[in-house]
Amino acid sequence: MDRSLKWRTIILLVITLGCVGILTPNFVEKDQLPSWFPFKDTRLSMGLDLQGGTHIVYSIDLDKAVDDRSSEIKRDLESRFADDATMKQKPVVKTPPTPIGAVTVIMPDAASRGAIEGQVKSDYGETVETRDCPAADGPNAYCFRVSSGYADGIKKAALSNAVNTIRERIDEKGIAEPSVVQKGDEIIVELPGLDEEKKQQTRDIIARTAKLEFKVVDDGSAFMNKLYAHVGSEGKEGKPTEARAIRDDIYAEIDQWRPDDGGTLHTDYFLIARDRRESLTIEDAKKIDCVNRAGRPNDPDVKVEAGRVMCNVNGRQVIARYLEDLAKTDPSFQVPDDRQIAYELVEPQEDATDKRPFWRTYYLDRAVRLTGTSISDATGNYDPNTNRPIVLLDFNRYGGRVFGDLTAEIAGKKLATILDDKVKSAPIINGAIRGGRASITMGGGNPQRQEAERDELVNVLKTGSLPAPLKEESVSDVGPTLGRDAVEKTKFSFALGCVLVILIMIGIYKWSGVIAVVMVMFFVTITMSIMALFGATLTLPGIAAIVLSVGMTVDGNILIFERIRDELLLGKSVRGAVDLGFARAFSAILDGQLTTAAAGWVLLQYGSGPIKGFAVMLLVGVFTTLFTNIWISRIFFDWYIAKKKSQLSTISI
Amino acid sequence: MSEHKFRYLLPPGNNFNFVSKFRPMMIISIILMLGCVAALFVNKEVRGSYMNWTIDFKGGTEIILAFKDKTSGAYTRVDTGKVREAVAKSGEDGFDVSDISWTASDAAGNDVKVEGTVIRSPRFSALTSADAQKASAAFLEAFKDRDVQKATWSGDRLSVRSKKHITHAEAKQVLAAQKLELKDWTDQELDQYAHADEGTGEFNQWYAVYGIDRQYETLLEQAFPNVDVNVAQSYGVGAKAGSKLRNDAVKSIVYAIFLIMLYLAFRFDVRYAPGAAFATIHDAVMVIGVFAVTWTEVSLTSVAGLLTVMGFSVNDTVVVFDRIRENQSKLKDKSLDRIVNISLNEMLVRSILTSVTVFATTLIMNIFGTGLVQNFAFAMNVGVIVGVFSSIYLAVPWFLWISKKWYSGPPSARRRAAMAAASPQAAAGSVDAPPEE
Repeated sequence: MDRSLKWRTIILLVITLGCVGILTPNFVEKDQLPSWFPFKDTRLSMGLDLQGGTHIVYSIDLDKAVDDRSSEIKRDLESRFADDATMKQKPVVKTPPTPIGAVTVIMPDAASRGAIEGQVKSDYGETVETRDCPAADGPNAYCFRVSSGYADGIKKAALSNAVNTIRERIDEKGIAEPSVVQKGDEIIVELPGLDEEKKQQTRDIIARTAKLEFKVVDDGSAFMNKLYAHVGSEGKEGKPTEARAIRDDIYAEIDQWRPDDGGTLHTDYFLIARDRRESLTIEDAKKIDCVNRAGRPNDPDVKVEAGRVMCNVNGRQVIARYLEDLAKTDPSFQVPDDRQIAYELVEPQEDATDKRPFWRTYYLDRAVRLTGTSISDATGNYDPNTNRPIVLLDFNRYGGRVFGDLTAEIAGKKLATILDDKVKSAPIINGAIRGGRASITMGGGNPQRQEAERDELVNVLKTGSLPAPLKEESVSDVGPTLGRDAVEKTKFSFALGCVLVILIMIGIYKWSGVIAVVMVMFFVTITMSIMALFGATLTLPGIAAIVLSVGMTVDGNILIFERIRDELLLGKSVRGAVDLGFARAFSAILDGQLTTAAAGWVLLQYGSGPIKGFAVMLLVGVFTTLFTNIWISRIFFDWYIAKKKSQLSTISI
Repeated sequence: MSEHKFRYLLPPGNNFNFVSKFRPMMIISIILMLGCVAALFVNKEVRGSYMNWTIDFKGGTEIILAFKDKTSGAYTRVDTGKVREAVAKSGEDGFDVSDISWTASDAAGNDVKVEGTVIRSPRFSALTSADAQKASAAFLEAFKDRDVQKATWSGDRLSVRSKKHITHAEAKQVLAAQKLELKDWTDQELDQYAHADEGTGEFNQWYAVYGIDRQYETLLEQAFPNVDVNVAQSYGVGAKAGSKLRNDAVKSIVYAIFLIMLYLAFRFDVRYAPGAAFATIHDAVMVIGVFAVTWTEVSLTSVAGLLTVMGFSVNDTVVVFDRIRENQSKLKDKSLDRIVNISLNEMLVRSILTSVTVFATTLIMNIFGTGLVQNFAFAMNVGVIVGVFSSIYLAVPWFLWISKKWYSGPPSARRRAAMAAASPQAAAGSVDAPPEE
């Protein structure tokens, strides 16, 4: 045995051992493996079609999409009225919460009614229809709504948009071949058998609405001033004076600032509250999602006692509940139609005495000034000053212009960035920001968690927002799409097919045929090991690619064997024939595999879903085919020759 | 030489004249390809769609069934294989059967695990479109006085928008006259449908009739007399493969073929590229054509099958080209026709043997596999046959013809080559003239 063969044999042994080690967790339970064992998590995961997974039904609040259209109409009309110099007193545009898609225009006088009505009709035509005005809006109100036919269209578009967005988000996450289908007004997502953590992450990312909005903070309002006075603040600690606020631990606070260029002093009043544990009635607990619809607590450790249950009420819910009850007793505390209260979760600075996070309110102008649709790209980065993770938003041309104009207009005020109904940040705008870029800074707290949250945010902002919020309706486990019985039958037929190949190969090439069969075994072992090592998911299209690669491995062997036969017939010695056979077959095998690799690479770049799964396996297969055919196969022939030394006149081929 | 005892698939020294059959073979396959394309349009006319798309591509109905033991009333499990058999016996194709489990509350309020079955059918409705139209027309006629704005079917559900309320009982009567049995409304639906939409004053109602789900229920109850079959859910679903996937698929295949041509142009030379592309496209078209003619279901797995066929075809072609390239430098004194013919004969055993192994394996998968696997195997069976044929009779002629037209040097040599093509024996001389079979 020459030196090179010895070394090659050792390397082959190491590789074989490695593969066996990698594949062991598939056959042996994790806790039965010894502690020194290097491969514990290299289990081969299988796709929905082969193993099944989780089947989640999402419902989507499509009415929200119609309401968005009415907000859009409102924005349109308002900017039109603002531009119209002939109009002395501007009409007020409102979007009442019911019915769906309603818009109300209240004219300053009866004279302008006809003109505005005509304008709305000519602008929006069939897409809107007139409705009766409630008496409260007065005689000069003109009421209309998004027409039901157009609303149906919006809903339909929103649903298919949501399906596409979910698909893109899951794709971005790199999950192999999920299934996302539309079912009536609901969306069914099927995820292959992932581990719990990854599954949860994926579910989080799917359900993120990722609705990004920019709204202006209305500081110094009479409403908030009055609320501040009502809650009261005493002495240095700013303790509340009102009885209910004391009970709920709600504080009223003031924020004051002067813009960089001087100007007037701005004063903003707001409330803060922290999370509390409270004993609630089942009815109240249902409202804050502490118990499910059947009245069973979501937290399995919590018990219902005497019709009450202990719930975690977050600060946002504490304030919202407080304001709701207050408005009931005193209507002057009803938030005006064109204003809204928004909440931000604040993580205190490192040096704060009380490190518990709390919720604070913002009093906002309800009008949406800019939305996530104006974003062209989102990238993750770090704030150069604080080193906190941030998301950089690139506006498209329209968005950049609007953002520039908006920041010029509101200089001195705060601009709130709202993501999924939560204020993310509300920086003071010192002047026009042009250049089409904005950023969202992640909160304090655990840097790793913040980074993960940032990456999730980048994913959802890039893939666009869902047209409306999703809700998980039901979760069930599905078996393999292929059918459990079919998987068994497939295994059987695959095994039978292999036996047939073995018979053909050994029947024609005798001992060399045995080598070919061993090569196929090496091929499958190495391919599976590579997949397990990289955590790839095996699906039917993937198996199709493996079948193709196995076919090409056998083909490679046949090419080599035929060449060796040719050389032997020309009278070459066995060693010479084997050398030449491998050398001559090499170019055919290499070119065949490289063309396949080129095709596989394209499929991987441009394909999606099953095509991607096929391409990944094909590329792995190309590598393994070349490796087994050219390198491993040669070792076996060299052994064969080395054993018989030079007295060999022919070989079994 | 006698000491080598090889087992031969074909006796050595085979010398078939492939080149002389290039032209008729090319004509036959172009006709076949046109036939395949025509089959698509014939299908569109006769059967309503180009191919037999499964639920993956066009959507359909998902029916989730739970099984209860008739004697004990407890949930039980029925083997998916038996469900599949029962459904297949009824003459339906293109459906998938798989198991599904969820948690439900039993009568005592305890959580029990239900092991049911989900059937995915490419049908949307048990109603034929004529019946559906008749029923909605009858509905409109019967409720003229309610100012019905719209009554359209969506699967087995009738969506109605009207100015005045139509009660469940009234609708039930009208639909019963059309031999349709209306499902009961849930309490939630009852409540919701009793009130008009606040803004428009219209009633939006859904009337679901027993359709596909009932068909499966009766079918399976007949097949399993001891089991009480309950429809847990039944709903129409959209396509799994959206337009994005379809566009991506077409785009990536076209790009892949271009890249393969580019690769061949670099590694071999430009003459080889069009033949390989043509052969690959031919194989794809033929497989699609066979699927169209036999009306075999086309699922996402069939797409994987198609990609496999194309991959196999390219590999086969490249290996044959490799031999031609090698022989071109080795046998400089021979005419190109001879070189090509020798190369093809040399590669014949390997081509047959490789195809036979792949064909045999996939044939067994076709015979013993079910559903999706069978489908993939069928694509492969067709693909392997056309793949071998196309490498020899389609890819090589392109190379040969391009070589003769643009690569054969001065006009005199080209004329000689043309004569050679017309009668190979005359040009090649007596020494290495291929004997006619």
